[in-house]
Amino acid sequence: MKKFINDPTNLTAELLEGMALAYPQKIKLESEKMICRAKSKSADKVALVTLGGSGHEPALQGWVGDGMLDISVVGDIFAAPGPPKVLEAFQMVKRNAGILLVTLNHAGDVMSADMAKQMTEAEGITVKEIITTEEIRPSADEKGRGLVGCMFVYKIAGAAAEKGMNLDEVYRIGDKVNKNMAGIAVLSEIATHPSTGGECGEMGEDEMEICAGQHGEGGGVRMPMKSAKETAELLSGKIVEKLGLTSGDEILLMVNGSGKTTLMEMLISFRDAAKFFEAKGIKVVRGETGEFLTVQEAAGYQLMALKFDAETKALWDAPCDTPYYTVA
Amino acid sequence: MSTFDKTTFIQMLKLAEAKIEEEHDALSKLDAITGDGDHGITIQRTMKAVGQALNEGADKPLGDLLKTVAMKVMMCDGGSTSPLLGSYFLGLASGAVADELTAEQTGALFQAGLDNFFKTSKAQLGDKTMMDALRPATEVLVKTLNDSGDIPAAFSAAAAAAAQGAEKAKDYIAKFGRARTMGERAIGQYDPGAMSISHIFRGFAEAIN
Repeated sequence: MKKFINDPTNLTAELLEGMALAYPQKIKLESEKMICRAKSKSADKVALVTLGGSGHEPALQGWVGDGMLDISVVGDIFAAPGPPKVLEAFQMVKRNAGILLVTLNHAGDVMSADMAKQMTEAEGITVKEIITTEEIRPSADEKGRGLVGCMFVYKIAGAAAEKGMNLDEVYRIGDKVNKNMAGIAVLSEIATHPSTGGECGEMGEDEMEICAGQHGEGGGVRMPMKSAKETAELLSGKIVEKLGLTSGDEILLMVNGSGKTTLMEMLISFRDAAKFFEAKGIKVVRGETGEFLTVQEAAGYQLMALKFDAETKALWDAPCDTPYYTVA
Repeated sequence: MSTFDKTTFIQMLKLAEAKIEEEHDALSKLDAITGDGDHGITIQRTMKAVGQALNEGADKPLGDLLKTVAMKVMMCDGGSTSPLLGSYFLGLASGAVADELTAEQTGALFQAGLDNFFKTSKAQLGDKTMMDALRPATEVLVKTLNDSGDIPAAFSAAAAAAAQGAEKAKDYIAKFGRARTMGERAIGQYDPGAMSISHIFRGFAEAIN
């Protein structure tokens, strides 16, 4: 392993410290492994909390700030934070307006969130939870994992909270985003686990995998490596099918690089995906390309789409100011 | 030996911690096949927290000591490992009625651990998880303790049942965790969680014998 790191057991603490030092006007490292806004939101607005492992930078804590998250509770590399820390976050932002918790569908995260919610009920703190499940799986009856689509929920539900909507409304909007988004990951090279230096899986030289998730845990469909166009069309076709998109629909489309894939490849892939949608009369009205949720130096990307309506589109365009996503 | 006491249990947990320390690299390698390659680190971190809590709370009564262990374990960032084992230790804590226990009470202690583990884990036997080692180990332990009252023999039998359970889990499809999406490709691969439980019970058995 050839990485610019110090102590492999202290990676998370050091990267969070780095992020807080780089963006002091936006975020602060509140207690150990908890990133909060530099200036807290007024208490009459719903607070947004999320949790998840590190090693996916800038996700998830890179989106703490005005218009998006209030707190990100961070675990260690690829590992969910323990329930007491999630409870601590709830206690920090507890308010009459309530808390929206956004959890990505991964066993550890769901379990930690669940235990923290149980502990919270005894304290009279109101928490509503959205579990993101937008990943497209090879079989339709299998529940998907949470991929980079959580960012759409943070952005849109976060904007709703910022406007002063109540918890039921913020939840309704967040839930609508969750149900109207779909994404799929393609992987062509496996990441190295930065703590162990070991490979997170194995992948053949001329192979790629779709429905690959975001840790190298496998479980997708392996096939010979394809061109950008073939791959983007394959993935886009599955999104069209999953969301039931038809001519006239408006979408937000994201190509999220996994770490090793270059912006050049992402742009080419975006072009091919966008043309595929446009050819079906589906309008790509907003787009994003870049690294939002990475998996160390894994190669590949997640193609993510959200079917807009007027409400979600307006909230997507609303201002926000976080370290890694800003709308003026 | 006719009773089971706090000092013995502390020694058992410490040997379990040492077993995990020896095995964590191998466990991460197993996890790389069906998961994300870090189970060894998370279980190592979890068992280190157990060891620390035991050192810090050694003067407490067994029930309080086990509660301290449970809280420390849940504070770890162990993915699903920390809530699962945290629940297990909370269950053990609720079963620790005294610092010295009869054979039957020892059985009840470990049964309480398993019962509380069930509350957090939704897994059934055969789902290729920790459950595949923990449940048979506990069942054999409780039965032997109730039938013969031979505490060291009961832990040896439990360790054997855990090892057998972890071995059988190789043939299963995973229903939980990161390996869930592997489908039939998980068949023939060890479940690192079940293996960890087997190592822990091996530590218990060696310490008490």
